[in-house]
Amino acid sequence: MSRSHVVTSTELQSLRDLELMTKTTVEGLRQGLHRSPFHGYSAEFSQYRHYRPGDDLKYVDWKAFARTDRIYTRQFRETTNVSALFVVDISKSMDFGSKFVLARTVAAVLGTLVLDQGDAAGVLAVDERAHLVPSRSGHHHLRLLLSELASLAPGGSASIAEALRRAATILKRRGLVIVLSDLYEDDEAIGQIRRLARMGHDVIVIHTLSRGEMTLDVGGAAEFVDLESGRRMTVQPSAARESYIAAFNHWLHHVEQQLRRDGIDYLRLIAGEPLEPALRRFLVGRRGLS
Amino acid sequence: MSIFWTAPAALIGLALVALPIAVHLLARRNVRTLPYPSLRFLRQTQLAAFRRRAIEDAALLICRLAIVALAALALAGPVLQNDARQAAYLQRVSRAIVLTRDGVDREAMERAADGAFRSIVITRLTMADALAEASRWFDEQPPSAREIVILGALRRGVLNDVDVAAVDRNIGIRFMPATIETPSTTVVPILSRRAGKLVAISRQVRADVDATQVTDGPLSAVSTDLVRIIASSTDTPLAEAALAAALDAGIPWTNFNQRIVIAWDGADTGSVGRNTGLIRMPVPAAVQAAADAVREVLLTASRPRFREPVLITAEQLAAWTRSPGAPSADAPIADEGDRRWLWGAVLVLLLIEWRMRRAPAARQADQSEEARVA
Repeated sequence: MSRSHVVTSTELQSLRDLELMTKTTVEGLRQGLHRSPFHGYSAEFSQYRHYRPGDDLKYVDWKAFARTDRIYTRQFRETTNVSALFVVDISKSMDFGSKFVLARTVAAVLGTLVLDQGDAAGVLAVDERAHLVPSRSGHHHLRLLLSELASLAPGGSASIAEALRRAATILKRRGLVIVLSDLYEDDEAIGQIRRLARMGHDVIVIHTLSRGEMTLDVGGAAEFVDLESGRRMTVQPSAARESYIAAFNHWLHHVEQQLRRDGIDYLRLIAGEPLEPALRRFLVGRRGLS
Repeated sequence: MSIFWTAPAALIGLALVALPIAVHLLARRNVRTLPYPSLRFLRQTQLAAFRRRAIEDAALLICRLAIVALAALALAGPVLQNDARQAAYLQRVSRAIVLTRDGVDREAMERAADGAFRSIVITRLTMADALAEASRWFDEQPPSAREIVILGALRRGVLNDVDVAAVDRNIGIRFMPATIETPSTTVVPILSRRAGKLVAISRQVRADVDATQVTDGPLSAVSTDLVRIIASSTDTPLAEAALAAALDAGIPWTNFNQRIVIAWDGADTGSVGRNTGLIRMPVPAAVQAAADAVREVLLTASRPRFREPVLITAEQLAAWTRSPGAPSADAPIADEGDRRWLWGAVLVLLLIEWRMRRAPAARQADQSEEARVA
């Protein structure tokens, strides 16, 4: 499976200059771009502290000693690489209005960025079974990642909450978890997202939606069939639209508020709308926060 | 318990229940199916209304099916044959009142018809014809007890065992002997003997005396000095023979009450006599024998007088009398039956159907009004 099946080169090239930074400290195995919970000696200065016997004299700030007549040791923030796991919702509700294509594209783009910056990326999706590509780094891993993304299709019976539950058990070290879902099982899903955040993971929720489901712009009267439950309901959209949009927006606001309150990054993407500006804003915003 | 249908052909109308089903299915088919991620927000806003609508749709269909089915059943005219109805059938009596050829007064007929569910008065030349006509009439009547009432003078010969046996065993037979009405007078031919010859004259006599009077005396002496032979008007030869016999016998004609009577019991038998000792014989076929008999009777010393009709004995009437049995199983049921209940149910269902159709529109109007106000 070539990567062009999942993401176009235009989409990739437009964002290639960006990096996906972690907002919180993560634990990596090797040096990278991201803040580590450990302090050590690297390129990024962190703080001074009084010299203590045993400190490497290499890190003594002699200029400061000359100015203040006190011996300070320079401390540096240790940076590490990040292990990012894309948790993709492949439940039936994602099979509406290119939502899943959007989620897959975003996962591919961000996965490419993560791998480009030397970090590790993996994919997890759950339907009747778990589709897992463990987080690895290196460009050779990109092909596997994109291939797995291309093989995914919505229609699974498991919810995103189940995938998040599995992610919590899979992830051994603190890392980056990127959730791509329409969050219709929001109560359970948000619970699991919070759990991941409490475990120390940097969680990004990318809420993928379609314009049609936001505005109930689906034509005339129809018998709506719930993709998840199969429940049927006859609806005249023109009559129901006003209250539907109000309820939907209220729900969106509620979900975003819940996530942001717990310090979880939230990005809402709408299928069919330009992806690059939205992702750019988001990535730049995260870089500023890091 | 069973159901009788007065118009079973209308049950074909039950096939019309397919009409609302087809309309319902076609109407539903017009709505496209749209897979949708979640109905949760529709539930919040519209689900209650539409769930109600869905229930109403099913209820509406059932209501319409019931209306069509009940209307078809009502048109078919069901009559539930339960015990109460069967008992009611036995309580009512269809009565055929068969009159003998004697005159019967209206009051007697009204008494005979009193309390009858349906009644008819039948008069025929013979009793056999009258009874057959009564049976045919019963066949056309609704289920009921059936009874024939034979009303009249009940002369001997009017009815016999064969006539009674021909009547269905379940049809009751009852006799109401009636006194013959006092008739008015009528003009009858009279054979008068003048100068040794019989001449035909006419005379006004009682109408019920269906007779030819034959007299030997002058017309003015008929009421006082008379020998009368009363016979059937169609039997002038018999009367003439009888008169001749009387004259030959030297009967003195001046005696006021000397009468020779030939009384008729039926179509072909009669009695000839004076006060007593009637002789029964087939009269029309034996005129000479009758004449001989008349002569014989006239020669006796007893005084002839007008003879009253010979009636069927009370014992015989009691033997023929019987109570009505079960109504005929084939009797046509023309009752209104139970269809009125079905029509009532149809009306109620129509009202419910109208309200069910109106309810969603009213709700929509209310919502529009609320939205407009908001």
